[in-house]
Amino acid sequence: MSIPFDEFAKRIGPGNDESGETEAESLRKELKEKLGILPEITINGSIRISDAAKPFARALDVRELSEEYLSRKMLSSKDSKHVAFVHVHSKEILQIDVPPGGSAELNLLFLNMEPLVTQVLINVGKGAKLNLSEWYGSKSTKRSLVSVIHEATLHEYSNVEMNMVHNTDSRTYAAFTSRVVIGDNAKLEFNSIYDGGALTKVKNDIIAEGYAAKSRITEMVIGSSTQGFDINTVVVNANRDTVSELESKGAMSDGSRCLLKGFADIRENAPGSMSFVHERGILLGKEAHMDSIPGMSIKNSDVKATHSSAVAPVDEDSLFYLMSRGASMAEARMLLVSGFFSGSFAKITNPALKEAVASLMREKIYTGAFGSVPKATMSGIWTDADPDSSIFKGHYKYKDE
Amino acid sequence: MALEINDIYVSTREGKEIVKGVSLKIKEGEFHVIMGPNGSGKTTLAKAIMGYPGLKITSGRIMFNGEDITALTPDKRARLGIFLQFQNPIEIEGVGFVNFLRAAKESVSNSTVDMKQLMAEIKTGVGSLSITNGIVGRSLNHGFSGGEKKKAEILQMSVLKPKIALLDEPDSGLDIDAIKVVAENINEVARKEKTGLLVITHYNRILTYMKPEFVHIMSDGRIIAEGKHELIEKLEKEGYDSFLNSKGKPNTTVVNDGKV
Repeated sequence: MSIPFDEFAKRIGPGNDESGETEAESLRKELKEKLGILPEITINGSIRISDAAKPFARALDVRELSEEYLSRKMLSSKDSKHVAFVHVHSKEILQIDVPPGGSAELNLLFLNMEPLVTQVLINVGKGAKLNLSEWYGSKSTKRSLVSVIHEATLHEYSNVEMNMVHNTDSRTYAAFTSRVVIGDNAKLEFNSIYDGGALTKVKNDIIAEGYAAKSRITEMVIGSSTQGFDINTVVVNANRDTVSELESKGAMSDGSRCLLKGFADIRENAPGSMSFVHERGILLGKEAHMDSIPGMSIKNSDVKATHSSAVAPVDEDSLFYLMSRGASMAEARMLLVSGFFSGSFAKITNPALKEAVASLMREKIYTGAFGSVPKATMSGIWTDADPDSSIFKGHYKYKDE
Repeated sequence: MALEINDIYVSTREGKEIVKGVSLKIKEGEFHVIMGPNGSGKTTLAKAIMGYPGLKITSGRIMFNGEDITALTPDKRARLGIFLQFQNPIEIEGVGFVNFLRAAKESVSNSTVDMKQLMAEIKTGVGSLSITNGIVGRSLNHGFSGGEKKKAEILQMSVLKPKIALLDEPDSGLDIDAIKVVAENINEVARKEKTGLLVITHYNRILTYMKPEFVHIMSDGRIIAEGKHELIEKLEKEGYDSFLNSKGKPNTTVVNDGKV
């Protein structure tokens, strides 16, 4: 049932539709030229499977995969209306399969010239490594939709970094559901950057299912104009000695709004586990709004767990300090926001992607613009934070440990 | 080159008047010191000169080289060459000290900074100021001790080379040796760059290493006495009460070397 990625990649690409191909190729070119990112695969809403790929189209039919979902305890249509919607409407499934001991680095471009409804299945074998970066862009001329399900299984001792950059235009509404199951001693870094889109709704379930499984989830939301973000992430410690760290940050300007809901679920059979939910927000405009609601359910007493939340307007004294050294108001805001996100940036290991995200943020803070591809620059953006530091270190309860 | 403060009145955003008619003129290379009891308006005056948005200048003007800068934003004042050393420098996590200083230097000099040269300047400053834990790789003032923060401010001053430096209690929180080191570094920058200095302090100790030419005593938002070094000696012996009458109001303004 599983399709090796290399084989699959040869058979999927920009749609046959002439205008579609042009738009997809132009965005690929922009990403390559301006940011140095070359997406290996482009998936767009009007994707057509060529004749040569027909066998795969049948093999990847969602109805045929449904039994596999159940056997792997993956998402089913009962999980949410969004999942059911995607199951019914998705035209294709992208399956990424890294064999045991294998290693893969993959850049994907998702382009919603037409509504994009798709599923991404990821299977990372024992001891395998995967660095996956996904870029969501759009060239839509009318109101559009991106609707994607991710389902990932990380087998024992595997190591995965997933980066998702959401940079669709102001006509695009986005809905994402992700479920990641992490096996024994496997490790997940899951970095999401929410920059574009009119309204983005996200539901993530990250489950540390195996012994000593680790997950570190980093969410960065940068809002402007009237953008809306509803980010709902649940981290689960479902076995002993598991670690879950969820860090969500938002910088909201103009009339943008954001809801961050992080929830830690530490189950009874997870002694020796650690879980942390950390939510922070800066408001850069009087009309900007952010709600941050961390929560926890702890069913074992032998755990370390804590949550924190803070949202505040940008500090006037900090702005004054920076401006007293010659930084303009925009530069000072940029400095503060880049400092705010620096620890989060540091977790992205792909240098080109890090630079790309920095450029998006710079564009957003200076002009409020999103949905286009800015020229890459790290100027004024720093990632000084130690990427290996644990957020437990910063918590007063565990400072001496 | 001169900074002129002409009879300014400064209020908080809530309308409380803090500075009540202060005039000062600081020329290139001059060294002024302001002393005064807590709450007399010294820090507010320095912040108002730098353009702190939480303060309102309700009357009077601030001139720099004949140009009215009363309405300028802090960054524009910094680019003209005015520098404020903060009494309590702000900690900004995630913004690297060196990168910040590079950005600041580029802003005030309006040119691209040669990083090699900047690093050499920082290295020299770190050595000269005896900053033992180093600066490189650390966030701006984040996790710095009180002394390190003060020294880091002076290091910024030495790199930015301002024309006028407003130093708000550069000695507070420093040990005896550190006060001497900081004073010597301020002297060195002022000598090399002909920087006009306005130092706010509570204590005479730092002034044993520096030689102010003009001493101003401030109380209740006003300058109540002006003179030279002798004024400090009078203050040291008799305290601020000697400048105030029984109702807490200032006596006759003292001029001419501290003599009434």
